Amino acid sequence: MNLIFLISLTSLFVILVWYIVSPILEGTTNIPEQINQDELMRKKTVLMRQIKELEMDHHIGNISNEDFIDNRNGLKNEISKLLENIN
Amino acid sequence: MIPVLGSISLSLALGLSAISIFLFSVFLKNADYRFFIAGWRGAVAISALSILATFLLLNELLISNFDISYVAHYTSIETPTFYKITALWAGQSGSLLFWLFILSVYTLIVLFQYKNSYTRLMPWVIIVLVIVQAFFLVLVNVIENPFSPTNADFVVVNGNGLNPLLQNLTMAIHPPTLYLGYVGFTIPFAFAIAALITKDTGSVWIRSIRRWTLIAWLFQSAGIILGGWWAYQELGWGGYWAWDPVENASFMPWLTGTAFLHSIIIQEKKGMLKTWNMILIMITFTLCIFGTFLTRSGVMSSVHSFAVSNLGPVFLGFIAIILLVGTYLVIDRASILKSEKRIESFTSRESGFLFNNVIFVVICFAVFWGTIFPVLSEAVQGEKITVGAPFFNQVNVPIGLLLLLFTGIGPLLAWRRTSKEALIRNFTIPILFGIAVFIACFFLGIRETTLISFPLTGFVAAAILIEFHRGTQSRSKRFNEPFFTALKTLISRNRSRYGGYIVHLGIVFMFIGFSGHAFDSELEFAMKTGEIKEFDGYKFELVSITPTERPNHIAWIAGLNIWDQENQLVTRLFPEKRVYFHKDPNPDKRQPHSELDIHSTLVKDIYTIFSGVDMEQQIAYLKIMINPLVWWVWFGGYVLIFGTMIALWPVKEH
Repeated sequence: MNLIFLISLTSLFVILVWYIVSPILEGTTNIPEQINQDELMRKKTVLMRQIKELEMDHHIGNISNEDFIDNRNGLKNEISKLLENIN
Repeated sequence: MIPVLGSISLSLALGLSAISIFLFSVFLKNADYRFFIAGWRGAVAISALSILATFLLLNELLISNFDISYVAHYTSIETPTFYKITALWAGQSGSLLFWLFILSVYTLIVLFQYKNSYTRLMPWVIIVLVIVQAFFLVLVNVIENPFSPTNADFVVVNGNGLNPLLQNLTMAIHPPTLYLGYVGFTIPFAFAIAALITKDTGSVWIRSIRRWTLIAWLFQSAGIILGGWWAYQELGWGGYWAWDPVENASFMPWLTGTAFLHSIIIQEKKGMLKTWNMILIMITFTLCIFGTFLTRSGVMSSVHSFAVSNLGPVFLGFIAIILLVGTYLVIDRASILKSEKRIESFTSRESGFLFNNVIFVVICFAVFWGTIFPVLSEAVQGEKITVGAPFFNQVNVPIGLLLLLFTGIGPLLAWRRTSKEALIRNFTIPILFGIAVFIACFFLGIRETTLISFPLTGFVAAAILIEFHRGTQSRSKRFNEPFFTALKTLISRNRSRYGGYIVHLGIVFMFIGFSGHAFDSELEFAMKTGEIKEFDGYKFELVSITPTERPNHIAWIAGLNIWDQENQLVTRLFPEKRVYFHKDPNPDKRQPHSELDIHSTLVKDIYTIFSGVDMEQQIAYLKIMINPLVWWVWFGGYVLIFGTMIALWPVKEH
């Protein structure tokens, strides 16, 4: 019983070490491009949502015309910059 | 074997936390992505091992392995299976392991959520999470190991059993809910530290943590409400909040967390309050650790003092490290934390948010001061000066009412500045409604604080409903939708905002309930079976006293008929006097307990406590309390939770 337990424990330890160390032996050294692209797409979605909220605030009367145009242009510029980097 | 495996899992997890941090350090130095993946996997393994250890302890509790000290201390053969599970967080080491378990689950979610969306913040986010895990791993490995063997030179055939006060369904849910809140704030804290270290203090980290903050806040709120419910149902003093140190410990991070939830809106929309947000989330997390410390250190006397230990210095050391590192980072990054814009007008939504934030922090400071004052006074003067509920009420009631006022004012203000016309247009109806409630209250004979609180709840409720009306009307006009369709779409498309307003409505309902406390009344008396006692417009008839024996206690049940003035039966209540561990030959181990019974309505609660019994004379010693409007506290709680869930629900992107 003790021997089986010890073997199980050792196996668990070896599996753990392999799980952690294996990417160092076989992985890629650079951050994959797709991951960066996903992040940019997420940022774009958030900015689009902010424009929608801004439009609603403007319609309800919670924000002046001048501020609305200012903020919307700012958000649109941010999206444009993002789009330049999205493939 | 299983206890050994549990201990080894915890030791391995502790060792892996050092390795994981090392792998991330290599990644940060060389930008070699392989080490990021290895570090990430290390973090997964730490969480998995911690979760495994928790399940192993749970297994030992369920099979009543009294060879483990923790199992012998907090369960017995007679303990019902459900309470054997809840015993996991009943004691010191178990609850620390449970903290680690929740953090590990949260960490796993974060790790997989961001697995395919690397940002510059992620390595640091994971490092911070692993450091917090490592702190708790040190506690459960070195100081309070839940798998420690029972220290006895004989076979332990039965355990002590669970504290009767904890053998209650609400108390089974309340601690894990609160823990989910406490631990949840670790995630926004980790993102904040990562943002400071990487100097990426824009809105990316704010967007990443909004949902996490809401989740933590939801659980913290639900935990506090459940705690109040438990106190009301179980402790038998007729109230739900006593400003007990441990209650305060859960309330303080809730206050700063609420302030944070509001002020991140300003940062997201206006690029303001960046430093303030960093400070708020650090204070919130520190208060969460402080709360765990208060509950677990035994430094304060409290109804929650289920554990007394020497964990204090370790917790205080960790808190000091968090504060030192946090303060250094905020000071060092001061130049990049400057606001992009300034508040231009007193009558702007930004200033409304700022006032509300200041009030939250002031209340938090008052609660903090009152909570630690007994410890400070003992340290300085050698005499423990207790600060009771009157101090907290005197300080916090007026500030709380001011906060309620700003809950109503905030949504009525426009961003940047509100024109005179808009002020008149937006404020007229809520003010008129508030005045109408004031007049009604005055003629009903209501005086003092409640003469302010009820009109204020009227003002705020009207302000919130107007905000819903304005939004719906605007949508109805723009898209030519019928009113109710527009209302439904308005909420579903803007869940964060309108969910927030529903939460405010919940707070209004809760304030109505709090105000009812001013009209509480109570009477304590002894009566024989068949006797009738009149009190506060009701007749209380003691019909019977019935003894009964259950698996883990003996009980005497008082049968009470309650009649109104027209002799109509209002309700029948059955409060109980119980004695737990009644079979124990040692009388000192027997624990008396009063299980009360409540008749609850929208207007008032009839609260009955069976405090003593004389079976020979057939006499019951009873305490009756009439508590008006308490129902609204719990209803407000439901509304608050419902509103938060709406705010949390993901919006479909079109």
